[in-house]
Amino acid sequence: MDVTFDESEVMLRDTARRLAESLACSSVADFESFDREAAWKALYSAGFLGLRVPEDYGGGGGSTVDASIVVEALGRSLLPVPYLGTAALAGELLIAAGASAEVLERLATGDLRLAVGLTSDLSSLAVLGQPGDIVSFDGADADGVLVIGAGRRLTAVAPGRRAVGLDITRESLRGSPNQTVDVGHLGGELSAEATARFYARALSLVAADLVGVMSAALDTAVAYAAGRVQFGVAIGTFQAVQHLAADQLVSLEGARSLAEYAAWAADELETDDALEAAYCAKAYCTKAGRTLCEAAIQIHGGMGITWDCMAHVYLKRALVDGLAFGDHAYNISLLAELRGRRAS
Amino acid sequence: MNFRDGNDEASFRSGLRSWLADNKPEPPYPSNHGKEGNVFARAWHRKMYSGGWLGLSWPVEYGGRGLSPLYDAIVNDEVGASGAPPVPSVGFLGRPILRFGTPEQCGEYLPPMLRGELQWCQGFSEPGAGSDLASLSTRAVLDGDRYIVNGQKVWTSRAQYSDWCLLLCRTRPDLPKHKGISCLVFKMDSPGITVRPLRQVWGTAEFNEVFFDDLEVPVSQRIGEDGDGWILATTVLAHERGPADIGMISKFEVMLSRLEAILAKLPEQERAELAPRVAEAYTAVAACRRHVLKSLSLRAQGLPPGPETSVDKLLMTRASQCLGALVFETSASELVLGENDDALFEYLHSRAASIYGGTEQIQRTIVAQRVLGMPRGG
Repeated sequence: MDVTFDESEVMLRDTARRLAESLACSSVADFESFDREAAWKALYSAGFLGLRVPEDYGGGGGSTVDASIVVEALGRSLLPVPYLGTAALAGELLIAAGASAEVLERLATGDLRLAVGLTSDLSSLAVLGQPGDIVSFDGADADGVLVIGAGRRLTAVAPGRRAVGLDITRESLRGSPNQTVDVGHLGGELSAEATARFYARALSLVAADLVGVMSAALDTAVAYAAGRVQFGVAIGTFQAVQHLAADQLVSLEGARSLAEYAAWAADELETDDALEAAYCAKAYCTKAGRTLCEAAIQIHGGMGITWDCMAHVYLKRALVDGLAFGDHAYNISLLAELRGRRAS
Repeated sequence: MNFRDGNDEASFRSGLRSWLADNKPEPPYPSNHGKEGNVFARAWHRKMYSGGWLGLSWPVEYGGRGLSPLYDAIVNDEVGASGAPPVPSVGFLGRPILRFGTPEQCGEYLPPMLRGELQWCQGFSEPGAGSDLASLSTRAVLDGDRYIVNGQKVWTSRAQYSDWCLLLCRTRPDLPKHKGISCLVFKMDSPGITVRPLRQVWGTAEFNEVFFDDLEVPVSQRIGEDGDGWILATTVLAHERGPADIGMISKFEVMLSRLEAILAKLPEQERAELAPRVAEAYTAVAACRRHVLKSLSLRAQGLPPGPETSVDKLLMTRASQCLGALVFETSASELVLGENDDALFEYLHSRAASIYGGTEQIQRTIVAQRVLGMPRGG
């Protein structure tokens, strides 16, 4: 047992962080003019697009922990590329369904990009034919939106209108339920086991993005407090500010520990144990993420309410992550239900 | 990253599991947290030690087993899952002796401490030195080959049952406050010691006032050099704040499973209301447990505990108070009628979690300044 990163995980983290920092926007205005294609190519060159795709299909054969390391690094730099949505989550879903070698190969090269279609509350995979919108977050540039179709097989529907909505670092889009697109063989029936395993992985990956966003938001707030002078001293010397920041670090450390465990559990433990870890991590990270990003705005004072200050960008990304695959209350109720079922 | 036991860890775990099945005391455990509780805890300590489950990460020559600190996490997991009494807190007073003491001192003090034969108390806080521990004023004056100690300690847990004391005292009042402190150890039945128990909010007395009137302590019973007291104190506190060292995780697991058992018996409507809050408490315990595992992994790699243990302490406090509030709510009528001393203790004791071992406010300041690197005020 050693729950810290091993050498290759540390190397992956450092590589991903360096790459993300080199591509990151340095001001809020930069997000609008960001060159997504160039960044996508850089992620391809680093081998991140098909990180989880088996090596036989041209992927990296990495673990969910590896994927979460990359997601966290990209979240930390608020990278405005749909890595989480169209590479990580869509990749997990296609692998779970047993998509064809060709589809996985195209995913790994970045040639094919698919988004994951969720129900209108963003809590679950969308099922074709059921009422309500198909919504996908982080689906920029997708060729299709994956939903569960007849016989619990994956189907790709056409992407509808895209929008930079709440989260200015990522685009959301609707799927068009009446218009399917042929993107290749997407695998067979999604079994209950494969679906559960997918959710465990998806929750842990979204939690990893939250951890990345949280850690950068806190760093930004702490740096601001060190430089902003009032009453003749840096506001970071005030106990009220220090204690607010310290509380956020405690939440961040709790969140990080749970997200890392969930990512490991998603590959290594029995389904129920993996789900328990995933619900727990997602619930905790969602709540901690929102609270931390709100505190980061508070520490920035009036600046924190301006468009040009990065603080709102963190908060908005955290809020959208918070909704993806269920908010805090949703995952808490799933956790309660699972614990109850396992006890009886 | 690997949360799975290696072969040795797995066989240790299964050995412990079957030992617990055979040796776990029959509940109910004494509800009195005073003398009876202390006698019971000491007996459990000796039993666990003789089974080979305590002092795991201590050197073999001092009665330990020389294993990685991660074994302490396994003990916490399994004891918690079995519902046995909490893991006795060995160690946090022994760590500074191990680090600063001579081989002779380690050989004399540590083995009976680990075995649970001799009980130790911690003479740190004073009426005028609580959060500001370094301003302590208990004086020790060197007189030939002995110190003469005068002064008063307070909040000294289990001093009335203890055989030995590890004391912080001022030996050099002429030096700046952090530099003039030394550490002495002595037997609690030495002449010149008066112990006066303080009754706590849950009714029994765990901590005490301890008075020293011309207590004589041989120089050979000083731990470390003259003036090492402050760094030694921070070593103790860093370990005390790491929940694995004080057995808190096993206690949380037991409280959580008791709450889940209560939940299972509630009518559906009430269960639906309470279940999310118990699940929330589960996440707080899990965050603490996973973070402690990380701290222990770092310790296993040879890094001593530092200011980051305050993060463990704060996570522990959150878990403790989240559970404590639920214990209160699920036993409210029994508490009103005076019929559930355990629940009363658990709730009120959770309020002490943000005070003992350095208050929540002190921990936050440590985290802000020493982990986040925020600036100190002028």
